[in-house]
Amino acid sequence: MKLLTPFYGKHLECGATLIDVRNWQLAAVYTSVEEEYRMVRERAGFIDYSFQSAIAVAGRDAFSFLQKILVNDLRKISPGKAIYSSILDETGKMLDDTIVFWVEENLFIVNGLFAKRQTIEWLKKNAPGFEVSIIERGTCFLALQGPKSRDVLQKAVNLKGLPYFSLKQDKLGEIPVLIARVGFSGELGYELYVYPEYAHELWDTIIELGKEYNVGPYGMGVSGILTIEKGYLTSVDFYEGATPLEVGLGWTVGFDKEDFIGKEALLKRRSEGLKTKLMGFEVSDPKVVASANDNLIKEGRVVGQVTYRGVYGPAIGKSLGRGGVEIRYANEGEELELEHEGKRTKVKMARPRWYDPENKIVRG
Amino acid sequence: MSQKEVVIIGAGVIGCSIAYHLAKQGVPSQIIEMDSIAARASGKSWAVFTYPPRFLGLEGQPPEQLFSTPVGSVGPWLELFWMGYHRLPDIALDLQEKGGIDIGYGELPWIKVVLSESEEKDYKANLSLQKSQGFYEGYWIDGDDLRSLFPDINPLARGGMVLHYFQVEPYRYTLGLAQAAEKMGATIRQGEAVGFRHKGSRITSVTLGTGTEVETDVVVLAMGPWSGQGTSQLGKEMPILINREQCLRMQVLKRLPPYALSTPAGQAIIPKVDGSVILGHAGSADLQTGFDVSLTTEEVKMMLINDAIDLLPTLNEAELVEQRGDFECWSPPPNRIQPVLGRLPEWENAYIATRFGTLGMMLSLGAGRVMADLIIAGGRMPNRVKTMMECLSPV
Repeated sequence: MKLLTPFYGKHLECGATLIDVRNWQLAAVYTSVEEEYRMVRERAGFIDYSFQSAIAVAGRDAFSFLQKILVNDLRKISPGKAIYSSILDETGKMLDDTIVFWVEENLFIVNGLFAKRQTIEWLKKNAPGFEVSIIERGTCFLALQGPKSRDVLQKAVNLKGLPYFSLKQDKLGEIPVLIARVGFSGELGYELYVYPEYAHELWDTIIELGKEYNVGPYGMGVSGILTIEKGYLTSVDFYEGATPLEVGLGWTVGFDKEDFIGKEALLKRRSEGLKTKLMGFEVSDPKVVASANDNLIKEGRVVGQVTYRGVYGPAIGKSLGRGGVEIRYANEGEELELEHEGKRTKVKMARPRWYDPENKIVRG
Repeated sequence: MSQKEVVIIGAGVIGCSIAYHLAKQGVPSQIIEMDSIAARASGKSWAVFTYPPRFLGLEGQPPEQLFSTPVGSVGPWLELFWMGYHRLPDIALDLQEKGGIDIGYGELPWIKVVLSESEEKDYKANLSLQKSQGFYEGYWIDGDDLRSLFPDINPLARGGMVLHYFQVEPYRYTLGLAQAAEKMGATIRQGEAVGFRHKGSRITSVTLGTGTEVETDVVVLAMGPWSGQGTSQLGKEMPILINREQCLRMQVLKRLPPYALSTPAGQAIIPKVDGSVILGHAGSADLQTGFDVSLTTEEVKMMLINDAIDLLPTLNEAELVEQRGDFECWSPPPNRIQPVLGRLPEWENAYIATRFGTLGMMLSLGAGRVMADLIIAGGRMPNRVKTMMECLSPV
C-alpha cells in the first residue's frame, strides 16, 4: 500500500520526482539538488516531513511516564520547549529518536520518525500503571529552513521570544498552526504543524510570504545532504548493537534521572566500555559516494559498515558518510578504506558534525 | 462578546458538541434534555467518520441520488466534514483528559466491495475523480488481496475501493463531549422545553414542562427528529421526515481483520475497536409518520444477518448481542439529507442545528464548531465557513 502525505498533490503540481521510502511517496527533488541546496543554505526553502508521526501523550502522569520512556531528562525543559531524546528498550537498543514538544502542562507530542507503529506500540505497552492517553495526531507539517526563514514567517506571525527548541500555537494568517523552532537542515528554521485540510493553504501561504526570497520546496535528496553535513542522525544510523553511547548521543542521556527504560543497560555499557562507535568519514576521492552497508576496511579486515548513505557535501567540499566502526579505529584522522562497488578508496575518520558544529547558526 | 447565557435544547451529539465547542472558547452553556445524554440515535449510530472526498462522486447527481450528502455543490460541504475528520484524534485525547471517557477512537480502513463489472467501473471512476481533485489517499484492492484478508468472502467479490475512515463508540463519544463541556463550565439539566417567552424578536426564557422558566440570551435547537416541535413553538414550520435506522452488534469468536466491508447495495460490516462487529445497512429508507412505533423489528434483524452472512459467511458463527435502532431526522424530497444550520430567520437570538440524517456523528464536530463560532460572533459568519454556510438553508 502506498502512503501519501496531505501535500502529495502539491508534490505532483510542483513537478517533483517521487521516491518510495518505506511505502511513503515522497518528493526526491523538484528542480535540481544543487538549486534546492543553495536555496536552503542561502535563502530559505521548505520540505514536507509529514511522514513523521506526531504522537500526543497527555494526562496527569504524562511527565512521569515520559521520564520513564525517554533517555533525556524532561526536567531540563518547561512547557513551550522541546527536547531531543532517544527511546530505548530494556537492552539499551535504540527504538527511535525523537524531538518531544512540551505543549501544555499535561500534554506532550512525541515526534517519531519512520518507526511510527513501533513507537506508538512501545508507548502503549509501557503505559499501564500511568494515567496517560496516547494517540497519534492527525496533523501534518512543513519545515521551513534557511537563514531567511524568520524574515519570511515574521511577515505573518510574531516570532519574537521563540528561541531554538521552543514552540507556540498561533495563527499564520487564517491558519491555526503549531510553530516549533527546530529542524533537520542545520539552518535557522521552523516547523509548521497544521490539520491536513489546511495543508495546501499552508504551502501556498509560505510561497506567497517567501516571494521576495524565491522560497520553494526542497526534496528528500537535499534533505539527506543537509542532515549529513550537520550530523543529524536517522534511524538507519542505529546499527545493530548500538546504544546512544555508540552513536554520539551520550549527551542526551539523563543518567541523573532516577530511572528510565534502558538505564541499566547503558550504565553497564558505560562501565564495560564501548566496542564500536558511529563515526563520520571523508572520502579521499570526492567522486566516490558511499552507499549504506558498504564495508569499512583496515588492513584487509572489515572493521565497520556504512550506516546512512553517503553524500557529497557542498558546504564541506567533500564526499561524506557515517558508519559504525570498531572502537580502536574510531579516532578522528584515522585512515580506513571504503569498499564501494568492489573498489576500495581511502577514507579519513572524522567527527560527523561538519556543518556549524557549535550550533551557532541554528541558535542565531 | 459579553457573557451570554446559552441554552441548548437537546443532549444528542450535536447539542453536546455545540456545548463543548462553546466551552472551549470560554462560553458556558446549559443543555436541556428531556431524556438523558445520547439516549436516542446519538447513542446508537455506527459512529463512523468517513473520508470526506468520497462525497465528490455525488457531484452533479440528481438530488434523489444524494442520499449521503446535502443538496447543491458538494465542495463547500466537505469543509464541514474535514473539521471532524482530522481533529478526531485530538478530540479523542481531549475527551479522555477533560471528559474522563475513552471514546473508542480507532482507524478504520473501509473496503467498498464490488460484486460486478459495472460496480467496479463506477468505483474506479470515483477513485479517479478523487485523484483528479487532489485527493490521492484512496486506493484499489484487487480480488486476490481482498481474499487474503477475508478468505471466505463471497466469491463474487471482485475487489474494492479502500478509503481511510475513523470510528468511535457513539454513546461514549457523546457522553465525553458532554462531560468535557461540563468540566469547562457547561451544565446539563433534565427537562422538556415546552415553550419560549420573548420580547419582540428576542427570546428571553425557555419554559420547561414543570413550569420553570430558564432565562437565556441565546437559544439553540439541537433536537434531531424532534426539531419540528421546537421550531413550531417559534412559529416556523420546518419540513422533516422521520426515518428509523437499525443495526446489530455481534460478538465474533475470532476477531475480524480491522477493515470494514460494505457493498454498493448498502450493507456494512464494521469491526469496532473492542472486537465486536456492527452490521448495518445504509441506503434503505424506513420512514415513519410519528414516534409511536417500536425502534427495532424482527424483519430488519433477519435481513441484516442474512445479508452479512451472504457477504462474509464466517459471520454465521457470530452471536447477536444487541439490536438497536432509533429515529433520524431526514429532509423531505427531493433531498434526503439537507442539514439546517444557522440562525432562525426573524429571531435575533435563536439558532438551529438539525436534519443531519445519517451524517450526525461525522458532522458533529464541524457543526459544533461552526455553531459555536456563529453564536460567539452574534450570528455573523466566520470567513472560512462563509461559502459553506451559503448552502445551509435556515428554515
